[in-house]
Amino acid sequence: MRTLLTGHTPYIMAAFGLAGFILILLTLWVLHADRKARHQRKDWVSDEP
Amino acid sequence: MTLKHLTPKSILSWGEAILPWAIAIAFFFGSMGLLLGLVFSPADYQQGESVRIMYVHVPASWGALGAYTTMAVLSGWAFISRAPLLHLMTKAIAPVGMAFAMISLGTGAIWGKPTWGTWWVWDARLTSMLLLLFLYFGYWALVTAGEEDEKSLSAGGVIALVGWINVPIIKWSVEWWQTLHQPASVLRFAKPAIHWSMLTPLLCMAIAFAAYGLVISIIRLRTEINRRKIRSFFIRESRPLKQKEAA
Repeated sequence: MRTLLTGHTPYIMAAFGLAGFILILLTLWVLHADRKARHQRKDWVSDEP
Repeated sequence: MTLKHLTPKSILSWGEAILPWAIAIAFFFGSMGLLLGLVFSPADYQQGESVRIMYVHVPASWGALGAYTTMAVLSGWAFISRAPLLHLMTKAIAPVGMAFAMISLGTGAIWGKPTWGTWWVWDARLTSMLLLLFLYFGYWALVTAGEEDEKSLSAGGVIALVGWINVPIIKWSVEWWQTLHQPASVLRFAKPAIHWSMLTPLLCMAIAFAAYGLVISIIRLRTEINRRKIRSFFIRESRPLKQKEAA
């Protein structure tokens, strides 16, 4: 643990953690909105073009 | 594919066909990039271990610039061809570019602290990148304001098109002005000034970011098309009711 927290490792962890957090948040929001729109379309609108 | 073939149905069927491949590419190259970048690539002789932040900072920056350029091209094409689907495609790409710009600025600040001794400086590269994030915010505010109709999409298209002037400024800012930010090491006219042991994980991560961006854009486009179908259905359904009320 001491080796892990010395030098620049916390900065590397913070950078990759931030990127992961933003990408996961974006993915969840996009999937949620897509699911909601698909369900609404299925319920109310036919699949005719 | 000509404009005649550019229908919501055709573009979605293309997107659905590409989707599993893009997901597989994002996972494969993402895993390879992380493994090579965090475990196998060497530390820098000057920056030490903190150079590994490059493997997420640089692909995110390229992604943010690439996404904005794609948005500008699609918006320009939409104004010329008057095809509303192109405006929807622009809107589908915007959240990806916005997220990439946030990652670029955030990881850049984290990288700046051990390298420069400061989280932020108002130099040309950093300021122009922050401006790009504000352009994304401006675009998103315009296209999601009010009725989310053709007018707001066109207004957003103008921002995407005019704001593109900032992209070459970001790219060349390190050459035109004295900045703290280092000059380009990969995307330059001469040979890349970076060793293959660092270039390989960097390119793997860039491919992973691009594939991820494609996945999110396809799903967003599907959502936008579905939302418009629902909206036009409700407008169609409410019309006779309004006519009855008027009578």
